[in-house]
Amino acid sequence: MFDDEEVLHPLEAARDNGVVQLPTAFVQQARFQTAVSRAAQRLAPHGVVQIIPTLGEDWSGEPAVFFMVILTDAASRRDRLLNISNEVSQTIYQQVQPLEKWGVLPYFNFRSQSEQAKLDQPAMV
Amino acid sequence: MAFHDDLLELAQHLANLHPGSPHQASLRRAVSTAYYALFHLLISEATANWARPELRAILGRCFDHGQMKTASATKVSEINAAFKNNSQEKAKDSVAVHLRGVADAFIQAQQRRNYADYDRTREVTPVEVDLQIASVSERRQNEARSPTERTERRKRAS
Repeated sequence: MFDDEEVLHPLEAARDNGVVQLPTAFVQQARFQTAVSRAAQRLAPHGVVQIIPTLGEDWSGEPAVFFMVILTDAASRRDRLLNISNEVSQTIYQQVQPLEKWGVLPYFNFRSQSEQAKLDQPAMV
Repeated sequence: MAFHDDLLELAQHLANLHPGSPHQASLRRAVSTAYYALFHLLISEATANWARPELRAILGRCFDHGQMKTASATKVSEINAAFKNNSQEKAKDSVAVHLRGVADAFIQAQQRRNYADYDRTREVTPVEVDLQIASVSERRQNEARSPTERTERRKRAS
């Protein structure tokens, strides 16, 4: 899809307990961030202000990426929220392919611009 | 009214409990309750064809949050892979598109519920609650819409 996004093999490191595989997203974080930023740019006309990915583990311990999607206040209205959230998740699934290409299960959270400003959370990448 | 519908109504009530100055407790309970509405909706759908109605509730006890998440993630991945280079198939296969939507909604709702119940490091906002409830409501409406599609989905989800 993107020239600089060829499929990369997960890093394999031999340890005492055998071979440990790290998901590609953890090993190639800058490239992963670039892929996410490109998807975010394409979503800007729909009301997406920013997409902040945070790598970690989900509740069951699986490697995951948590996307905090900041929307304009207009796009966050109840009557638009479901449509825009579906648009964002489908675009990320198709363009970034978090699970298939990067080995992390994607999760999406959404906030409005005014909510984010109020919380004043530092961006964690 | 079905149990999952009661839960969804309760989630909406909790979300609107303090308009203008929402409390974290009610927002978090709303997210969690909406997830359980979806959890019980899916179990209800899955056990509805069990021949002995009096045993459906017992059968429902076999469903496990972790196994349902793993099955959902596998299904999303399978369908995405099938559609990857075949957009024509995607356009005509509404059952697969719907199934992917159900599976993804479940995965997302479950993780949000985990945040809401256990993670105090960040605030839950009204927009997050609105989305959780809207997502579950959409699944509920779709399940009620087409009995024929439901039968087909059950076959392909198994």
